[in-house]
Amino acid sequence: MKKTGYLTILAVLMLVAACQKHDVPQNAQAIQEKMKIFPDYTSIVVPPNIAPLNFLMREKGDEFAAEYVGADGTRVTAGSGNDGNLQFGLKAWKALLKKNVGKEIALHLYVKRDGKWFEHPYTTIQVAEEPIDDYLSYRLIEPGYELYRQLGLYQRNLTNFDVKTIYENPRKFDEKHSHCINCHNYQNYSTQRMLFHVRAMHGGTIVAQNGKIEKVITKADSILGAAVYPSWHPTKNWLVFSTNKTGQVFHLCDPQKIEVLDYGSDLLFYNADTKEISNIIKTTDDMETFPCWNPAGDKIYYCSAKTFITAEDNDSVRQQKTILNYKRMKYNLMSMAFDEATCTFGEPQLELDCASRGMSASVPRVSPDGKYLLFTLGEFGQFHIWHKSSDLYVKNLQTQEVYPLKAANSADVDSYHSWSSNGRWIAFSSRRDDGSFTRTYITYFDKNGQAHKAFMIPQKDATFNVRLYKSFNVPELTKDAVPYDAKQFKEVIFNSPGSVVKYKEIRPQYK
Amino acid sequence: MASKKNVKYKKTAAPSRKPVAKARRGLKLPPLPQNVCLLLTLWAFCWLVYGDVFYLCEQWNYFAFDKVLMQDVIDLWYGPAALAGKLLLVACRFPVLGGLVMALMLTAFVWLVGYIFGLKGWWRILPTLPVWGWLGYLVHLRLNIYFHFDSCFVFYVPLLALLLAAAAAMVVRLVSKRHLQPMIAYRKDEKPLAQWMGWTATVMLFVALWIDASVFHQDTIVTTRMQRLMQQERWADMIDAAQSCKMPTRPVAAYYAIALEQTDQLETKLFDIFYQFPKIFLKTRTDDYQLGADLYEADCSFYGGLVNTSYHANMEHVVSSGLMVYRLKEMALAAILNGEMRLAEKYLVIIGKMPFENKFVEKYMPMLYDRELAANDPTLSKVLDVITTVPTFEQGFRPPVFMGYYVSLPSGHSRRQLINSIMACLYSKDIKGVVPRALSLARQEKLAKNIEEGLLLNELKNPNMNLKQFDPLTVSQTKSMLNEAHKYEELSSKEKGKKLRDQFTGLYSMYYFYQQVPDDNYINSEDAKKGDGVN
Repeated sequence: MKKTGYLTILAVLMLVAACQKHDVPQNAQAIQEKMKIFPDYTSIVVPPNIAPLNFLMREKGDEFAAEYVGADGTRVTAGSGNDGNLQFGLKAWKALLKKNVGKEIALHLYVKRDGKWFEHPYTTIQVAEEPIDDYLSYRLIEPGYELYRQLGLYQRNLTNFDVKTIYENPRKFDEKHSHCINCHNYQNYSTQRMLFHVRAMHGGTIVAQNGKIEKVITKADSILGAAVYPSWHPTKNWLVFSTNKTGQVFHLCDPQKIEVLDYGSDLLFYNADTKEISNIIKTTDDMETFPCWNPAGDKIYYCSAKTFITAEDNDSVRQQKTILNYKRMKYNLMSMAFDEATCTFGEPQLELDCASRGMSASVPRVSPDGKYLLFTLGEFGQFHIWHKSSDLYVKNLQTQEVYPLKAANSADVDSYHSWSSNGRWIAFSSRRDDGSFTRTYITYFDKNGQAHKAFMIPQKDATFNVRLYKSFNVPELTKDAVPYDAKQFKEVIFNSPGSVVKYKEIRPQYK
Repeated sequence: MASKKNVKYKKTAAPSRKPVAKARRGLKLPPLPQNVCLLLTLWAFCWLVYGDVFYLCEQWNYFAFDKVLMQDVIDLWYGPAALAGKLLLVACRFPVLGGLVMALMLTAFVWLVGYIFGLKGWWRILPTLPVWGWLGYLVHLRLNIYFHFDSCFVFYVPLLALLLAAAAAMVVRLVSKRHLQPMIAYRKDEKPLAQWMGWTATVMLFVALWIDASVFHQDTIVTTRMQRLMQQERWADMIDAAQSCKMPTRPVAAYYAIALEQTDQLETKLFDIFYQFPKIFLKTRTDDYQLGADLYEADCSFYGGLVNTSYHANMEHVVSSGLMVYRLKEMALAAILNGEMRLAEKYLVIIGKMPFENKFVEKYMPMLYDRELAANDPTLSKVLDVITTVPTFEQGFRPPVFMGYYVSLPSGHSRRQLINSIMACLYSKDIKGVVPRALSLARQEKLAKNIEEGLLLNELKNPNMNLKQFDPLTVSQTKSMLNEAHKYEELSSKEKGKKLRDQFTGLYSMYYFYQQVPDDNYINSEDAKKGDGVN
C-alpha cells in the first residue's frame, strides 16, 4: 500500500511538472542585436484562427525562451534547451489570439549564455480581424525532374497541426500501379465539388461531388490532349480547363535548373453534368493556358502567348522551335466573356500586355469580391515555379492599375497562389528559403489592395520544413474539409475504367 | 570326492579380444569451439573481402532517428524490418564493425539452429550451409545488391532469421529443458577430430566464397572499392584498383577516368586499362537492364564540371529509390559549387542526422559561410576549374551527358576542360574531332603520347601522309602493334584485342582498332525507362 502511494505521488508530481508553464527570465539583460528566428514571424499580420507560430531560434545558446504578449496582457510562453526549438501550447495560443483580434501581439525573445539571460529587442505581430479559411490542400512532391514515386495530396487544418491524407501514391514504385497525381481544385472554396488528375497507370480525372466519386477520361479526338489546369464555375457544374502538350528541358548551368515548356495548349469547356467537352479556343499561332472563372461566372481569364510554330510543324519541330525560343515566350493576360444562359464564350480581350513589358504572366486568379486579378509575373514562360524572377502581382479590375505585392514577394520564386474565401488572405508557393524546396506562405491582403509581409504556414516542429525532403505544391484554401477518405479515392482510381467524355462543338471557328 | 557345490571360483575378467591400444604419438588434438572458426571466417569475409561492398550498401541507404525523414520507410508494410535493417546497416560505415555485426548475427543463427535440432559432431556443419549460401547469394547479386535492391535487406533478412531461430530455441528450451551451451564454448561431449573437421569445412567454404567473390565477381569489389576511395579522395589508390582489375567494367572505367582527371593524368594513362567491357547484369529498381550509366553518371558529371547534371541524376535516384546518403552528399557539394548555400545547408542538416556522418558535415559546413574554402579545396577547386558555363540544355548532348558534352565542347575555358574534351574524343574514337583541339593544345605545350597517336592515326588516313612530324617512337610503336595484329588476320578485332592485350595495352592505336569493339554490351540506348512530361 505504501509503495503504491509513493508511486502515485511521484506520478502526479511528474504530471504537474510536465504541465508547468515555462517561465521567462525576469532579469534578462537587454541586448541590441536582433534575434534570427526560423520561420521569420516578425512584423507579420496573422489570421485570428491560425495555429501557434512555433519557431526555431537561430543562434548559439544554452537555453532559449520566448513569450507572446497580447495587448490585453495575455501571455503564452515556451522554452527550449540549446536546440532553440520553441513550441507554444495550442489552447493558450488560441486564447491569446481570441482576446487580441485586431490588435498587436509582442514577441519577446530570450537566450541564456554562460549562465546569464539576455533579451533581444522585441517584435510585434498584428492579429487581423478576418480569419483565414480553415483548410489548406496541397501536393507533396520532391522538386524533381522526370521520375516520381511517392507523392500525395494532403489537407492541413490551419487552426491546428492536423493533416489528413486526401490521396497518395504507394511508397514503393510499382510499374503497374504507380501514378502521378496533380491539379487538385475545388469549387468556390468548398470541397463539396472537387477534382484532381491521375496520370500514367489508372489515369483519368477524379471528380468528387455530392458524395460520389467518379473517374472521367477527358480525351477526345477533337481536342489537343487530356484536360490539365482546371477551374470550376463558381456555381454551376461546369469547368474550364487548359489542355497542354508539355515537356521539360534541363539547364546545363543555369541555377533555375529546369524549364517547363508547352509545345501547344488550348482551352476547353467541360459540362460535368452531361460529360461533354468542347474547345473554347484551339489555335496553332497562340498558346492559351491557366483559365480561371471570375466570381460572377460571366468571364474567364487566361494566359496567352504567341508561338513560333506553324500548323505544318510536327511534334519534333514544335519542340525544337519552342526550346530555341523559350526566353521569347511571353504570356499576356486575356479574358473572354461567358454567357451562362447560352453557354457561349465571347472573343478574346487583352487584359494586360505583359509581352510589351518584357514579362510573362501565369495563373490568373480573381479575388472573391471580383475587384482584383492576382497573377504571377516572370521574365518569360509560364511555369514560374522554376523562375527566380517570378513575383506576385495584382491588377485592380476597377482602376486597371497593375502593381507587384512587394511586401509579400521575395528575391526568389513566388508563384502559384490562391485566395481565401473572404479575399483577405493569399496562400502561395515560395522558394525563398533555400531556392529549391517550395514552401507555402500566407500574406494578408488588406482592403486597400496591399499585401503585407508573408509568413510560412506554421508547423508543430519548426525544423519540419528543414527536414522535409518534399515541396508543397498548389496550395488551395477551402472552408471545409475533404469529406472523402483516401480509400474511397483509391477504390475509384484502381477499379473504375472511367467514363470517356463526348466532344461537343460550341465554337466552330476554333475547330 | 569333494562336492563341487562349495567350490567358489574366483571370477576373472574375460580375456579381451581387442588388441592392446598402442600409445599415441604426435599431436593430441585439443577441442575447439567450432563457432569461433565460423565467427572468424564470416568476419574476415564480411570485412576484408566484402567490406567495401557492404560499405556501399550503407552509403546507398539512409537512416536517421527522425520520423519525418524516415516516414517513407515507416509506412512500408515491412517498415519495422526495413528500419531495423537500415539501422544495422549503419555499422557498415566502418567495414570492420559492419563485418563483425553480420558475422555475429550469422554465427548466432547457426548456434541456435544447432541447439534447436540438437546437432552434434559433423551435423553441426549443416546450419552453416545456409549462412554461406546467404553470403554466396549476396555475392551473386553483384552490384545489384544496392543498385537494384534496397540494400537494407542485407541485414534485415538475417535478422529475421535470427529472431525466428531465437523464438524457436525458446520453445525448445521450454519444452525439452535441454541446456543451451554458450555460443563460443568448448564442446567436451564431442570428439576433437569432429570439431577440427568442422573447422576445415568452414575454412574451405570461406576460401571457396572468397575465390568466387574475388575472381568471378571481382568487378563488384573493385567498383565499390573505387566508389569508397572516391569519397575519401584517394585518387592514386583508385587508379591502382582499376589497373588491378582483369576485366574492367564500365563503372570501373568511369571511376578510373575520374581519378585520372583529378590527378591530371587523364591524357597519359586513360588507355592503360583494357576496354572491352564484360556484361555486368545491372538492373534498375524498375527492372530494366542497364549497361551501367545510371550507376556512375552523377559522379562523372560532378567531377566533369556538369554540376547541374549531377544534381539532376542524383535527384532522380533519390526520388525513385528514397534517400541515400551517397547521393545527398554529392547534391550538397553541387549546391555549394552552385552557390546555393541555403540549399546546401538543408542537405548537410539531413546528412548530419545520419550516424557517423559528422565528419562530412564538419568539413563542408564552413564552406557555406566562406566561399574561398570551396575554391581552395583540392577536389572542389578542380571541379570548379572545369565547371561548365555553356548556357544550354542537357538534351542537346547525346547520353551520357558528361560524354556527349565533352565530345561537343570545342575548347572550354581551361586547360583541363580542353584535355577532357580531347580525351573524350579519343575515347569515342572521334579522331577528326581530336585534330583541332589537339592543335589548339599543341600551341601551349608538348602533346601527350596518346594525343599524338590520335593525330597519327588521323594522318594515316591521309593519302599524302607525313609521318616525319610525329615522334619516331610513337610511329614505330604503332607500326609494331599493327604488324603484330597482322599475324592474327583470321581473328576478329575483338579476339585480336585479347591477343595483343598484354603487349600493347596503353597504346592508343591498340585501343582504337582492337578495343571497345561493339558487341552485346554496346547497345546504343543506355537510359533506364523514365517518366514523361511534367509531374
